[in-house]
Parts: sequence; C-alpha cells; structure tokens
Amino acid sequence: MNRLFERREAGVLCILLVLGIALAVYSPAFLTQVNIKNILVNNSALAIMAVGMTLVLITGGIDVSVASQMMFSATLLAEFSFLPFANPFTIVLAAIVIGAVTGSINGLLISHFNIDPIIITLGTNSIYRGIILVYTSGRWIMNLPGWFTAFSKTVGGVLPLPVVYVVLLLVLTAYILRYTSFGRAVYACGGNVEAARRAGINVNRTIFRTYAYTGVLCGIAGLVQDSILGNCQPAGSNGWEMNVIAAAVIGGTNILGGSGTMAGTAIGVLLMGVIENGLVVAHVPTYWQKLVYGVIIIMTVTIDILRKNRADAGHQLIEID
Amino acid sequence: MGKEKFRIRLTLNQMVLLGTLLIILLTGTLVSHNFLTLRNMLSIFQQMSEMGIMALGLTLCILTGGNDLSAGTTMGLCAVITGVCLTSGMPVGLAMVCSLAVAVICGCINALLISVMKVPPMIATLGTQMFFNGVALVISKGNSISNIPESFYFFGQGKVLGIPVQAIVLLVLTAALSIVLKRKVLGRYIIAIGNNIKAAAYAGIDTVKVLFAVYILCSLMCCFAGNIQVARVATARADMGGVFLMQCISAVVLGGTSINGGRGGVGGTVLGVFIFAMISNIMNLAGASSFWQQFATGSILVLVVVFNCITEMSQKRIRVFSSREARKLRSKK
Repeated sequence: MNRLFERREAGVLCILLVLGIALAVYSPAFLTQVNIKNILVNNSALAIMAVGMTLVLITGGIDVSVASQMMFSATLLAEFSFLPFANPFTIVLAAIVIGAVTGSINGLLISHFNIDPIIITLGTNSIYRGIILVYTSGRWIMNLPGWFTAFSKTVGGVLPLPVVYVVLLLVLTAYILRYTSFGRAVYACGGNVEAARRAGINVNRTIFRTYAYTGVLCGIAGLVQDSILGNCQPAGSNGWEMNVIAAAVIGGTNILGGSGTMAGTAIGVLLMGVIENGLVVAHVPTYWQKLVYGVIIIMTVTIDILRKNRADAGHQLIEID
Repeated sequence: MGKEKFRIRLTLNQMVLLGTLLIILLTGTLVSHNFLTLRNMLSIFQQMSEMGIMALGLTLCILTGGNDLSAGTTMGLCAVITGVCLTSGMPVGLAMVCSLAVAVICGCINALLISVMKVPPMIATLGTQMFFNGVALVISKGNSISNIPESFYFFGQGKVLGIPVQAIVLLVLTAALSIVLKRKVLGRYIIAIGNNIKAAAYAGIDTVKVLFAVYILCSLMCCFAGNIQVARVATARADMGGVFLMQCISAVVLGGTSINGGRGGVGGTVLGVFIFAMISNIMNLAGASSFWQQFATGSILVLVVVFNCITEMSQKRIRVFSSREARKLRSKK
C-alpha cells in the first residue's frame, strides 16, 4: 500500500478523483453516462497519440509532428475511403502503412543523421501539414461513408469502440515496454545512451523503431478521429502536439527520458479531458481552460521535482556526468 | 598580420546558409521583377521584424541549453496588456511600461522554475505557455481588442528615413545582443552554461542570476514583438504570437545555434528569419498559396540541417583518417 502511494501516478490520480468528485457534487450533468462517454470518446485520438509520445519521451526524444502526422493520415484515409477497393480491412491497413511511412521518415532522419529530434520533427511537422493542405487546398472532406464512421459506433449502448482501441493500444504498448527487449531498450536509451550502447543495445535501431511505432499510432489516431467526426478538416487539430506532450508529462513521464508509464499517460489524458469538460459543465468560460492546464502542469511537475530533490538529499549521492 | 585580422572566418553552417540565401535571391529575381526592389526588401524587413525580435530572445534561451516554449504566448499576453491599457485611456508610454513589467514577471516565473526549482526548461515553459495564454484569454475575455489609439501606430507603421521603425529596432537589438554575446562577460557566461551548467557553476558563475537575466531578456523581446504587432495591425489578441514559436525555433536552428546550447549566435538567427521571410515573400509574389509556404519552410529546415550533418560527418571522417595516417607515418619513423 505504501509503495502504491510512492508512485508518481498516485498523486495525479488523487487530483483526478478529487476533481471528479467536486464536479459531480457541483453539477448533476457531470457524472452522467453520456457525459463520461463524451469525455472518453473526444479524447481518444489524443490518447492514442499520447501513447506514442510517451515512448518517444522515454527515449529522451520528442516528436512535435504528431498532430501533423495524425492529420496526414486522416486526410489521406478520408480520400482513400471513396476509392472502389476501400473497405474496413484495407483502410486499417492503409492507416498503419501511412503512419509507418511518416514515422519512419522521422525515425530515419533522427537516428541516421543523429540530429536533435525536436529540429527534425519541427521540419516534418510543416512538411506533412503542408502536403495535405496543398493537396486538399484546405477544404474539408465531408460525408465519409457509413462503414467508416462505424469504426466509432457505440456497442450495446454503453461501450464506444474508440475507447476499446485506446485501451487495447495502451495494454499492447505497456506489454511491449515491460516484457519485450525493444521495450527495455527504450528505457535504456533514455536513461543513459552511452551505457545502453556499451550494453550492446543497437541505439539507432531502437530510436528508429520508436518513432516508426509512434507514426503508426498517429496513423491509427487519424482513422479514429475521422470516424468520430464523420468528416476531415486538414487544417484542424493544430497545436495538439502540445496537449499530447502535456498529457504525457502530467502522467509522470520524464521529458529528459528514462522513465514513464502507460498508466500515468492514461491518467494524464483523463485529467486533461476532465478539466476541459468540467469547465464547460461548471459554466466557466472556456478561456479559463488554458490557465488551469498551465497551473496543473506547473504544479505536478514542481511537486515531482521537489520530492525528487528531497529523496536525493537523503541519499547524499555523488553525481558523475 | 594586418591581413589576417580582416579575414572573415565563416563556419560551415554559415557558408551553407549564405548559399541558400543566394539561391533564394536568384529564384526570387527569376520569379518576379518586383522582388529585388528596395520597396519589396523594406516590406520584407517590416514583416520579419516581429518574428526576428522574438527569435533573438529565443536564441539566448537556446544558447543556455534551455528553451522557451512560452515565448509565443508571452508575446500574446504583452499585446493584450498593452491593448487593455491603451483602450482604458492610459498614455502610450505608461501602457508600454505596464506590458514591459508584465514581461519581466513572465521571465521571472520561467527563470524561477528553471533555475531555482530546477524544472527542465521544456516542461517549465510548456506549463507557463498554457498559463500565460490562459491569463491573456481571461484578461481579454477571449475577444480581440481593437480601437487602439492612433498615436501608438508609430511603432508598427512608422518610418524613419524611409526605413520601418521595427526594422531599426531589430537591427539595434541584434547588434546589441551580438556585442553582449561576443564581448561581454554575460555572453561568455551564457555560452559556458550552455556547454556545461555544472562546470559553469563550479567555475564560480552565478548560474541562477545568468538564467534570470536570459529568461527576462527573452520575455522582454517577446514584449517588443507583441507591441510592434499591436501597432502594426491595430488590434491585440491573446493568440498573437502562437504561430511564431515554432517558426522562431526553426529559424534559430537554421541559423546554426545548437539546440543543445553552447554554440551559435544571433547573427545566424537573423539570417534564418530573413530566409523564411524571403521564402514567404517569393511565394506571395508568385501567387502560391500559404500552404506551399508551410511545405517549403519545413523542407528547407530539414534539408539544411541534414546537409550540415552530412558535411560535418564527412569532415570528421577525413580528420580521423588523416590522424590515423599521421600515426602510421610516425610509427614508421
């Protein structure tokens, strides 16, 4: 029990619970089935991207092109869905392939040329977004086919499919991180690259795979987002990369690499979703939303750091760079 | 001796940059005969100044090995403060002082988190980015503030000797900062911290003080940029600087400043901003949509960085090779 409370996720979970209870008491509209479903479904694409972002952050990198990658996939898939051979099977395949391509380009540039990830992804961010905007001239793609939007239907009136995808991907990624050699390599690269290299880990390959995997997740996020909205807005979801990073960071992922968990990221996404929804439910003007996000990020991170400093002071470790 | 003194030594990155600039200039003149005119060049300067001033501040942060993701929203916040002060009837000077004071507070919050609490700069400024934007939105209630008094327009629309005011501000700030970085103690401290903050602290540099100076300076630059934009477009909105942030970071990197700190300067940054501004200008002259501009800026950033990297790698290889040869020769002797 004690160990549970020592974990980073516990603190954020407490904030989430307190906030949830407060909102439930304040407004009867909050704790209704429809509202909870809305929170979960509206944040599902963000959650899928946050899963990938967590992996990237654990390796000590960053990917600011996730929102562009998602819209790249979403736009191409929306166009693809009108082709004669498009069906639920081929479109999932297409989503994975498109995501793998965009992610691999990032991964190749970062691992092969050893350039700082933020620079490359800043560049590819504009490139991916530019390509789809030029291709569609910024026009929305409307009236996606029924079988496409069926990807996000609610099963049995209670279980929205996007939530199922999120849970599946979370579990899959948590499994990869914990039980596969790739997952251990991801943590090792973030902890200490040189040590990882000496331990025989192929750092370049690990980094490449991380970005490619994140790309695939963004591709799937594009599919989910398209099917939820029923249309595609190539210029939309601008600046989501910051929300995705924030969700991962709130969930306890170290932006310097080396630590982070899927459970934390899930809680981080939920917390951001609940704040966004709670402000609406509580009739607070939406422009307060950013302020609250900012305060929460600064607070959680500061508490985290202070706690770490106190723990370090107890150990009296000698740090060697 | 005398000749040596005046030789300009260009780094590889600067040569690549100048080459890129030359290619862009050539394309520009081929695309439109209006491109290489004084009027067009001045308008490019007018457009690039806001981004350039903000990029100068960001260069300082990035040189210390940090980053300021809140730069864009600091600019928005300062713009809103100026707007609110001006519309409430304050004189122009007082309104600007108010927004500068807010910028100093913003810089202090960032610096406090980064240097005293030791929060990694990216996270600290990610938090303050949303916080400042939130404050700006709450103050402006999400509206854009218009009816700015005309006496304020000078800073964004005025001209001195035919040169736009903001271009002069940009040039003066660039000159001042490059002197600070090259000739003053603070500049050496900034570079030292960027190379190794622990070593800098052991060498007796008050890292907290230097980081405070850097982040406050960066916020002040954002404030200048915000005020200039308010004066130019005669409105103040909370989301004003948001789009600049990523472009500015791109320009800083394009200008040869290492994103990990310790290497680079403001001259390259201005060149980087100039390249981006010219690309969008050429595209406008050619009638291409803004969507192409996004694609072009991204491609140029990636191409230049990758090209730099390849040439650096091959140079290193040559160096390793030649030192190996030398060792062989020595052992033969």
